[in-house]
Order: sequence, then structure tokens, then C-alpha cells
Amino acid sequence: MTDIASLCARLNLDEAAVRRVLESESSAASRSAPWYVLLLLGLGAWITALIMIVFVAVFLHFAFEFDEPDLGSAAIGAAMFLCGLLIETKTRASLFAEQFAIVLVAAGAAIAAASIGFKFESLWSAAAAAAAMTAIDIWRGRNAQQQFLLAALAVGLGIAALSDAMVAGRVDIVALALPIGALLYLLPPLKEVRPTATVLLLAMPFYAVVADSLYDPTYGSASWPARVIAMATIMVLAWLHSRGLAVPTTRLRHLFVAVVAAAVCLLLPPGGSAALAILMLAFTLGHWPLAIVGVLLEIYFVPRFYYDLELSLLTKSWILMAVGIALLAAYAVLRRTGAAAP
Amino acid sequence: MPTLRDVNALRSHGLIPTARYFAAASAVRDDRAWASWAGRAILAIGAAHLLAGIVSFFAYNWADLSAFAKFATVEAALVIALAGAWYAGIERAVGQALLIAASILVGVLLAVIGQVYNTDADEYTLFVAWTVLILPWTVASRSAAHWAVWLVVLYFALSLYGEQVLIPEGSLTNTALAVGLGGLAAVVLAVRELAVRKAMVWLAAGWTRIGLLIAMLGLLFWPAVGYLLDWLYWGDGIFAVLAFVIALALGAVAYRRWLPDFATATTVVGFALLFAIAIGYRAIDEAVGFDGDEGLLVASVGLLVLWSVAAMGLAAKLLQVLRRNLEPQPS
Repeated sequence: MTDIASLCARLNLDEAAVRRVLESESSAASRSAPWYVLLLLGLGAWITALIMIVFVAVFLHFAFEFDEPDLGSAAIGAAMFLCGLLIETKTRASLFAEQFAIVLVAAGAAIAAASIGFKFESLWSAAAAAAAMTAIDIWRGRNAQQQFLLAALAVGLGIAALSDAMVAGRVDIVALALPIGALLYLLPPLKEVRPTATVLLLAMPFYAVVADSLYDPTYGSASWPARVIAMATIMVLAWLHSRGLAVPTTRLRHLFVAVVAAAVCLLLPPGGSAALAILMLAFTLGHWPLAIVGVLLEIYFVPRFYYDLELSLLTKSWILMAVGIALLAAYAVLRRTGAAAP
Repeated sequence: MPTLRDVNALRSHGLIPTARYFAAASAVRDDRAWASWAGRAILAIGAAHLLAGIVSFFAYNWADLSAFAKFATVEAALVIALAGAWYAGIERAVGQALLIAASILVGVLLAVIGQVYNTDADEYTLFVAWTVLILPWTVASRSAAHWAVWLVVLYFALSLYGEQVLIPEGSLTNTALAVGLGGLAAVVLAVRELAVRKAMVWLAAGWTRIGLLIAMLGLLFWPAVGYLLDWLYWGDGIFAVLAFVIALALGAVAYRRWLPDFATATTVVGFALLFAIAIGYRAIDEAVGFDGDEGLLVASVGLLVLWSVAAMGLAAKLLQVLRRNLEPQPS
């Protein structure tokens, strides 16, 4: 860690300007909300958007006898989306209006995208519509939880389209979202895109969770490219991290841990490998919320991996003990070199 | 000290170019904390793998083992874990992990006793005995993780005792059991706060407070909402609603006034928001109804949308005010 003066000196930044920005950010009103507040408000917006979608469906059914979504309901969804954006532009102080606008935008986008999908009988067109609305929201850059909801809608519809089309290697295509999300975290553009980057990072693990439990398990011997993508992401992150370390032995130790983690990617199912890459990104950037998400995902994927192995319980027990001993040995080495806590 | 959030703010104002963002994030990263976190994660995953491997090994060979061999293996593992904890020292992470492993093995040993001697006892007896037997180690460990394990075992002991003995004999209702377990979590949370004030720093980690608060509110939330939404047909379910409201109020006062903490207060607001949406549903259902004619259905769902948006707006406003008052201002 460093202080502001050292940070500015190291990165050749204008210290006065940096202090000015941090002071203006320090007022509670202008600072971005912590992740758990965004999570809570996002959850509330999601629930309310679902209720609003039900309302629109019921209203259209009874008032206009719409039995199936079509271009008319798409137009209503688009109008709701634009109306929400307009409310956000006009009312900056009212929190009620802000939350109402988020719900309107999210529900409108979902109705418009779903209606287009129904009309053209294509999930691709629904995903494209949702992606276009996400792009508009990123361009406007108003609200993190709104961008997260829209990006999740677009990515979710895109993955559903891939699955529906039975595209070969769809797991590997979904896995490509991981390095793109990591790249957006490491090289963020001026426009706020972290909510979209988070959705891209989570795409592979959540696809694996849904696919494993529904119809199309992603574990097993297939999906090697997806594992290699996660492995490569981990290696690049480790290389970036080790570049900044001054002591060569520390650099070697970190690279060793990264190589081990990357090798584990070849064992785990693609969702678990992607979660490992999320953990590595959290470690590299010093990002606690991503670390929490990564840990929770691994708590799902690691036991699932052992459960799904088509081996006898005896063989599984040997593998478990061997991995456990290897990890405890790694911990002992890290302790001896002073890298881990006592 | 600047944080990653400050770096993000500087980036959004264009003061840090894209190419230097990673260098800036690395500069403000707390290297010691992350090294410690990584080490502990490797220790926890390694210990869990080893323990799971041992359990799987014996599960595979279980049927072929004699009663003596069954006891010998579990007791040997127990002795090794205890000796390891003593050798490593229970003030160190590895010693604490071994003591937790020993506590879990006590449960395995009790299960073996039940199986070999075919005691036919209710499950709650195993959990009660387990809770009592590992309490001294839990107290001695001075480890928040060990206390978390003990509380989970205690929760199962009490809930199984309630479900298998007290509810069937009519001494307790489902609501009373749910409220009692939630109340117990509240008492544990209060004890935790007092202990931290008495300088027991090993209990001071933020997750212990948030974890207990979520346990308390979560245990009371489901029966309360189940009653409101007619999922649970408990005659005295209204008491679960009352208990949840009291817990919410206590949580709000405690973490707004007595022990100001924005993250914890946010958790309270989150539960309150979900509860408010459930109350709105019930009130609209009673007043208008969701299964009436077409016009009434549209009106009901429309009212629910407005109510939910209002609840969300109020929650956002509350969080804004709480943040202004509770969150430490950056220097």
C-alpha cells in the first residue's frame, strides 16, 4: 500500500488534481456506493422488475387481448425502457424516481427483448436487442445495478441462443467471456463498464451451474478449450502480478503458485476453472468482492467435481488425500518463506 | 491511504490512463492482507481435502471393517489431530484448523458408536452429546471459525430436539421453535458484541457480526414470510412475524446507534426491504385480491409494482442517510 504522494510520484500523476478529485469523491453523496449496497438494490430492482413484467403481461392480456408477445409488446417494452432513461435524465435528486426508473428500464428491456425473440422465433434476435439496450445504457453511464441487470439479460439470452442452436463447442464459446471480462477489469475504458465486466466473468460459472443441474453437464472429458482459456487467463494475470514484484524469489514463488493453479484448471470442470480465474483476478487487483464471489463459486464446484468423477470411492479418496497433502505442503513452504500467515 | 475505489474514481475522471490503471491498482493493494488470505485459503482447502479423503477411504471400506478397526481408525485420527494441534499451538492457524478437525471427528466417532452398538437413539442425542463434548476445545481454541462450527452443531442439536421430542409431545409449536432458534442467534450476537468490547480481538472479524446477524434475521425471516404469503399453515405464525419485526428493530437500533456499522445496517435494510414487499403482497391480497376478476387482478399487480418501487426507493433513501452518518469519510 502507498500514500497519495507516493502514488502520484510513482505514476507521474498531477498530485493537486488527484487530491481535488478524491476530496470531491469523499462526500458521501458523490462516492460510488459499496458493492453490497449495489447488490441489495440490484436484488430489489430485479424482484420489482419481475412484478412489473407480470403487470404488463396481465394488462396487455386483459386490456388488449394480447395472448403472445409480438411487435406491439416490443414497442411497449421499448417505450418503458426509454421512459426509464428519460426519468433518470430529468430527476437527479429523487431516489424514488431513480429506483422506479431502474425497474422501468430493466422490465422494459426484458419485455422488448423477449417480444422480439417471440416474434422472430429466434433467441439471437432477442439477445441482439438486449445487447443494443445494454450498449445504450453503457453509453449513458448512469447506474451500476441497471447496467448489471441489462448486461445479465443480454448475456443470458446470448447463452440461451447458443444452447438452443445446439452449437458445437458452446461451452468453449461461453468461456471466451472470461478473458474479455478480466481485460475490462484490467484495462477499464473511461465509460464505466465494470458491471458488464462482472457479468462476463460470471457467465461461464453460472452457465455451468445451470447446465449441470438441468440438461447438459459441462464436466467430463470434453470442453478442453474452455479449461485452456481459464488456464491462460490465470497465467497472464500471474505474469502481470509478478512483473510488479521487486524481489526475484517472491516473483518465482508467485509464479509457482500460479502454475499450480493453472494446472488445477485442467482437472476442474470449466465452471470451476473460470471461478479459479476470478479468484486470481481478485488476488491480482486486490478486489475483495470478486474474491468472495470466487470462493462461493468454488464451494459449489469443488465438491461437485469429486461427486461427478466416474471413479470408485476408494480412488476418489486417494485423489482427495493426495491433493490435500500437496496443498498442506504448499502451505508449509509458503509459511517457511514468510509468505503466509502463521 | 488510497484504495482501489479511489483508483477507480481517478480513472473515471481520466486522471489515470488505461495503460497505467493496473500499476495504480497494484500500488494501493494491501500485499500483506492478500498474502495472508491466500495462505489461509490454501490451508483450509488442503485440510478439507485431506479430511474428505480420509472419510471417503473409510466409507469405502466401512462394511468390511471390524468394530475394533472402526473405532481404532477414527480414534487414531482424533488423537493425531489433537497431538498436531498441541504441537503446532492453538494460537496458530494450523493448530486451530487441527482442533476444528478433532471436533468434527468427535461427531464421526459418535456416529460410529451409534452404528456399531445400534443404539436406535434419536439423531438429536448425537448432536447434543457432540455439542457438549467439543465445548471445552471450542472455548480453549479462541478461534471464531471453531465457534462457528460449534454453533452449527448446537443449531442441529436444538432444532432436532425440538422436532423429534418437543413438537411431537406438544410442548412446543413450530413457530416457537423457529422463534427460539432465531432468538438464540440474537443472544449469541449480543454475547459476541460484549466479548469484542471486552477486548477479545479474535472475535472482532467483520464476518462474525454479519454472519450472526444474517443467521438471526434469516431464521426469523422464513417463518414470518411463510406465514404472510400462506406458505406455512402455522396457527400461531403471527408470533414469527412479531419476532422478526422486533429483531429488525433491535438490529436497526444496535447498528445505527450503539455500534454504528454501515455494512451491518445495510443487511438489516435488505431484510426489511424484502419483508416490506411481502407485507405489501399480503395487504393487497386481503384488500383487493389476486384471484378476482380481470380488472381487480390488473389493479392488484399494479398496486404491488407501485408498493415495491416505493419500498425500494425508501430503502435506497435510508441507505443514503445511513451511509452519510455511518461510513467513515476518507481522509
